[in-house]
Amino acid sequence: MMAVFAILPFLVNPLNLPREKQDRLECERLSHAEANARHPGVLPPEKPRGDYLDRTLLLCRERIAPPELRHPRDESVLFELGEQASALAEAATSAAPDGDHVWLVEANYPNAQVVPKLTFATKVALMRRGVTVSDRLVALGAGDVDVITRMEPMQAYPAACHRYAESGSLREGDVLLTLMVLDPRETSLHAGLCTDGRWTWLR
Amino acid sequence: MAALMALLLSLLLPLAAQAATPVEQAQVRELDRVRTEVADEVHLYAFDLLDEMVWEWSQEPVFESPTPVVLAGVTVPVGLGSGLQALVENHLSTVLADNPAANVQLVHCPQCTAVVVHSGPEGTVLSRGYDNPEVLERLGAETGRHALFVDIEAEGAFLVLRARLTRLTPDLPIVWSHTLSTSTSTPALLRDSTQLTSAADARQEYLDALEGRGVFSVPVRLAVRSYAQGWNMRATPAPPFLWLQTGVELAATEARTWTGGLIVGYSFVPQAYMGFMGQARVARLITGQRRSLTRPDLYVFVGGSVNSVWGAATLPFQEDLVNADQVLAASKREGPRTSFGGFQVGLDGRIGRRIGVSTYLETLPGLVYTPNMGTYVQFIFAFQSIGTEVTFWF
Amino acid sequence: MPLALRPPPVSRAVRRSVLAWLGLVVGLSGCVVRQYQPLSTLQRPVIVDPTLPNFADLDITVHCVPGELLTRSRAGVLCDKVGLLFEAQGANVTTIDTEGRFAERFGDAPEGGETDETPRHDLILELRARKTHSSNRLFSWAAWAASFSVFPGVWESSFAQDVVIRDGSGFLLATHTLEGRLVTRYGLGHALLVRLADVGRARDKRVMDSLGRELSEDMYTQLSQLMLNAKLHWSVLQAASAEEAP
Repeated sequence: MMAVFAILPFLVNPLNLPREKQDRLECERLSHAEANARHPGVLPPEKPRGDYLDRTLLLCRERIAPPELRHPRDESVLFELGEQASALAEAATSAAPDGDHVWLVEANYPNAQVVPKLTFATKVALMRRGVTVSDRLVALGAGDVDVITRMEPMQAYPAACHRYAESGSLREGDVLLTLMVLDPRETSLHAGLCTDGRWTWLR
Repeated sequence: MAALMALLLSLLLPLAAQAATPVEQAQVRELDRVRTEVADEVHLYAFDLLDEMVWEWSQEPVFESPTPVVLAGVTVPVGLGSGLQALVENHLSTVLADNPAANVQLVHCPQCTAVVVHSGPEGTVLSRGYDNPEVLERLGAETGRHALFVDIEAEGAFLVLRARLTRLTPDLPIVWSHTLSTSTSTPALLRDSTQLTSAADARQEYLDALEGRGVFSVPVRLAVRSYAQGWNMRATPAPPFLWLQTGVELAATEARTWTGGLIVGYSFVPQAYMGFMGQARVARLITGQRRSLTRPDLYVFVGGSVNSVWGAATLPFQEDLVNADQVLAASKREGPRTSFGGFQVGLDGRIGRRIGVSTYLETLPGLVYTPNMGTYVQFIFAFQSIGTEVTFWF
Repeated sequence: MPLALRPPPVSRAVRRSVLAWLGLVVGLSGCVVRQYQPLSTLQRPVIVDPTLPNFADLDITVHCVPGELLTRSRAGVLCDKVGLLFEAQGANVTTIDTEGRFAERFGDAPEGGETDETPRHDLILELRARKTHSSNRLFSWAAWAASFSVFPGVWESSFAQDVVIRDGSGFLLATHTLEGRLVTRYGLGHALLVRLADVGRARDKRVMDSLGRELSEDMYTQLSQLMLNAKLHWSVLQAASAEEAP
């Protein structure tokens, strides 16, 4: 019977799970103050004269998408989509020229399913910063596409920006925020702004 | 031409399917299984987010009066397939239909979601209808409508809903947007679509449902206790005892974290034994801070009991060695009456607040030295008996 | 007086009990199971393959800053290992030793391998380590003693590795914190169960002795990914500043 009681904690201990199953859990350690703010009542309140024990909260949640379900790059980008979108919106609105603008967003990403996710989250983040955002799309003619897709990315985006403005696809007062991945091995996004045919790299 | 393409595709597709190795096919099957499993778990959380969005609309409508809105796009977490998308679309339509106070009337607009090809002096443009309102107007669709886009994405342990409303005019301005999220560590609220409430109220309803049955409950329990074989091989072991028990259980708090109970029991097997017992028990929930409606709960308990048994089969509950002949001889008369006390420690699993299964170890201090009874476990105390119970709660 | 130099007599009982304790400690030394659990920041998906030349001809300076969890000697060892990681990916690595001097690991280093001159560096990686939590579960040790080592005694700690990446001019490119949890269980029962559970598992999937292997793998792949992202970020900024220059 003692063996049963010894085996029970062994079986329920997540550390004894295979690594694949451990990776389905997303754990973080919260300090006493963080734990009280985010999950009040779980830890006893701190004693005014200090505590002999180091009380922290190890918070584990199960990830919705198991690690094998999506490509690592997609998983990495989607994992912190909200944070990335907010950071990009902040950087973009700080870098944009003064005045009232209409913001457009586009994304160039290897997986077509992820593209609308990126633009959606960024548009919502821009809206939260109080700017005017439009769902309008910018487009290039077939000849432009043929030329620009042969260029290196660092030259292609400024060239595309120039052509958007010249063709009238990007109107005066429009600001186009473009998100992209420049290297197939990276897990973070780059961004640039196109205003009146002038391209600015943000990150 | 189209027929030729269809023929070509029909020839190529089986070839493509055959190209996958058995290992790859197995991986694809496994991925499909995981995808279905996750989508099954996720859709309730997605419904929660949609309910919350519509509830917010009904409290603070985006439009002052009922306004036609085209459901232009619903996207679900990458990798979870179109089945979930259909569920989400249907649920959103149902909730909006049941909540006219949201002032959003979903309308059908096939031109809006179709892919349209428009050729003009500026060139040929291929787009979705809602991306090109000028073309929509030419196709006869009413302009100035609004398009609703909903995106649900799995970001780590969080399911995040983003929604935006776009006016279908040439400038396509976004007039409203919102973000909501929920995490897997919170149970789905399962709100009734016809009576939407806020997430906080729904959570309170959930807790009230947990706590609403009062602090008293009445268990009816069927228990079996078996006793260990004695160290002396000539001794006759005590037979397993069947008990029918009932009583009352009192919870210390409405969360039912601590409970205590008093139980009386009766046992009868013709020609063998008869008995009464009384038991007191204290239990502590070990799987959370409060009882759950959706998953089983586990308690650990300690208890003390007093048993009074009589009949031929109860002879082994004596300090003297008892053999089979003595038991047979006793069966011809009323048999001895024995009373003894016991202490129990065990685990009690409860499912759905109606059914419980428990198991425990029992030590009988008054019978430690009887040769008729051995011990199952010797750990600080000698546990001579093991019990298993099935309980129904009323 | 040769007799006066003899050590004082030790009773046989004391000797036996000391030997018994030593035997017990040595016997149970195989019963330590140290396990590692990555917390969310060490579990991020990684695409980069650290066996490929991802940083060819890039000058990287690695600075392991001694502090709370990183003693001077440990900082040196960590810097050596991380330097090796990036050298294997084609970078020219310089480490900054605990005295703050540059030690060139690759290229035309002066004799002795150290130079006080500031070398050219494209990217600077700063590593700091700190302890975020530790606990000795007293109840588990009581159970360990009462159960004669069937139940394990548990000691646990969590650490955070702060990663800062800058470009040569000191511009901040990336900051990140990698967090993990280490749990040590000491006991016969638990060690037996772990060894039983490991039967049939491939060597690289076994729980026993998995700590070093898994922690190194996670840490080095995450560092490689962070460095690659920072390198691309730096390239974009360089292109941007080149465009802005008249």
